[in-house]
Amino acid sequence: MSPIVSLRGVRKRYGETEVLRGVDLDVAPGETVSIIGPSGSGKSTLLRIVMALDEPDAGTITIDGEMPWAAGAKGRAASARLRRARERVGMVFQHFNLFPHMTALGNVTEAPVRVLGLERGAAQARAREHLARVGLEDKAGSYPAQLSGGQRQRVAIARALAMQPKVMLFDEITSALDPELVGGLLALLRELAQQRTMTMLIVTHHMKFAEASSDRVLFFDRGMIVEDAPPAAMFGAPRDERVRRFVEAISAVERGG
Amino acid sequence: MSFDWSYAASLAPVLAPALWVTVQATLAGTAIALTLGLLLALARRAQNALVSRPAAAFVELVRRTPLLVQLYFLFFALPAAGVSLSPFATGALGLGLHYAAYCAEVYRAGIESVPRGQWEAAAALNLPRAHTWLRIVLPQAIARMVPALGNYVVAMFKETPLLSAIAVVELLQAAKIAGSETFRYVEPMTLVGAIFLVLSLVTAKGIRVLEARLARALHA
Amino acid sequence: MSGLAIELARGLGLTLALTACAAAVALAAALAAGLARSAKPHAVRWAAAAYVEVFRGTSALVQLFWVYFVLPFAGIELGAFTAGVVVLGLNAGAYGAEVVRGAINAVPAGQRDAAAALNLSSAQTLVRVVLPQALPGMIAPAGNLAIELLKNTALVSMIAVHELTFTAQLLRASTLQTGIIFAVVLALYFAAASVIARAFRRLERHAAVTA
Repeated sequence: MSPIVSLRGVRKRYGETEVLRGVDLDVAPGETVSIIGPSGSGKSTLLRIVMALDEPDAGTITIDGEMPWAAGAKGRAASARLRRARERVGMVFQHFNLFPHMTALGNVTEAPVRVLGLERGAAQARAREHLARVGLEDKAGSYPAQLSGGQRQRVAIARALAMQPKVMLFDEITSALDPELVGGLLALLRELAQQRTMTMLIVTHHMKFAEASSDRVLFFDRGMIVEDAPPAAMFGAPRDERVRRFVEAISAVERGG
Repeated sequence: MSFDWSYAASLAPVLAPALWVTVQATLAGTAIALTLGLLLALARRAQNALVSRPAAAFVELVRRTPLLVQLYFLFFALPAAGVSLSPFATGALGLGLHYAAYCAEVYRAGIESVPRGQWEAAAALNLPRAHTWLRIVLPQAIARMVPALGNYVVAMFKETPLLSAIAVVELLQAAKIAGSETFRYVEPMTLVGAIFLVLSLVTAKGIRVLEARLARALHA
Repeated sequence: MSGLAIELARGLGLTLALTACAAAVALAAALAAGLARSAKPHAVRWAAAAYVEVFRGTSALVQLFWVYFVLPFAGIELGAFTAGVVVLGLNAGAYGAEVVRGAINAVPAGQRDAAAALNLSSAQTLVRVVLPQALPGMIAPAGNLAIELLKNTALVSMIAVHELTFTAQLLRASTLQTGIIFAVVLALYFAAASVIARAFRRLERHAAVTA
């Protein structure tokens, strides 16, 4: 089965710093991949590249057969290609990025109506379904300012899911939340992973979650994938010394030691 | 519409003295605005309502009415009150008074932008009030005020053409006179516009450079 | 005395008409140029930047005289009132363009990221996500520009439009009651400016509530 996400030799630099230094990656359809590693290693940039928000400086990226940044395309053809690729992918951000001037329902119906061309009634029905799935059916009429951090993130997840993407990206979605809200969100992620309807790429600091819910774990450091292994191997017997130290340090914190 | 470069060049002896008048008016106006503005700002902070209220009223009145009307008022009302000033002096005074009101706001905002903690630290160290003002608060306030004050100087420069309404021969008036003599307005008017544009762009850039230097000095 | 009052009232009426018409021009110009500053084609961005720099770098009076005295040589003859509306409107529009640009840039980048992730087009992102969040921040500066516009209408008296300042000059010459006339005229401008200020404050509160 051909990979649904495929990166070859991807490089990306911001100003002076090279953030991604040659990334090769294949993700099979339906896989749940956790991405761990130190801060600043380029994990978020990697997700932004897969979401086709930023263009790589070198290398290629293919999403479900579409190449968002193929050379040679100009103007309208280029943006049509870009949008076809983005159609396949959804993303949930660390800082939610909900539209503050729309209700939860408004946030979730906006893209289905404007992009997919759904009729308003159908879009609202779909939105309520997804809000119910994340446990917020009674908050449909609330504005983001009236919701807690955890609730906002759930709306963000519903908003992304409502577009029915094949690949879902989660960029440290619990980092901006108060600790007591984290558990609920991780449980939701676990549920989504178990349903196996989508491919999921999850950047996370939660090792226990990564161990329990992923098919595969990537260790990312200084712009490159250092190790790529199933959770048992990654956490039980990592090959690389950096990975071993990192996993030990984080696990100690998680245990409370 | 054609542009006769030789005619334009021949305007230099007419426009140059007018430019000098413009510059002098700007400098005089700036001097008045900066000093009077500071006095107004201090007056507004005064505890005594007899001092602070009229100052505040003056600032509000000046900011919400046109400079042109204020100039006409000074030009016609001052002689009637027995004060005889040349048109240039009247114009400079009018500009200075108008922009003093705006500068007063800048001074106030600049002083208030110095964090409360600075005052408290000075008090805790038992520094005398005058010393606190001169060595601690004002140096920090001034750095923040320079960009805004600089912008008002440029604005004042651009408003000097209003003085043509009270018979001051600055740049615009000179252009009008030259144009009405030959019925060729294109060259003088365009030249004057270009002179203003170039000078205000250059001055604005100079202010940004000054701003950057002050920012560095503040952090040093 | 009532003759004076009628004359001044007429002058004030024309002043307000000038302000309103120029404000409409300014609004259109500010939105167009403010948005154009972040457009993709370089020529559009450059044209908008040039417009802003030229109109902000020269004074309204010079611009007014240029349009009124020089444009006829190019075959464009605008009446004094029209020239006033066009010049004052474009002048205020140049300052307004910077307000629009600043407010749009103040909308957090994450909002554009979210819109792109949902595959909204650039037009949809601008109209549905960015502008609604940028608008409330534009109201207070717009109010200040409106008051500046009102004050600038006095300049049009210098090309013989019978607005309030021109009327004041006429009345002064015919009645020699300098002090009273100018005091009344200053009070009228002050009152008009205060009404505008209050209207914009109310607009600002309304925008904050519905957000």
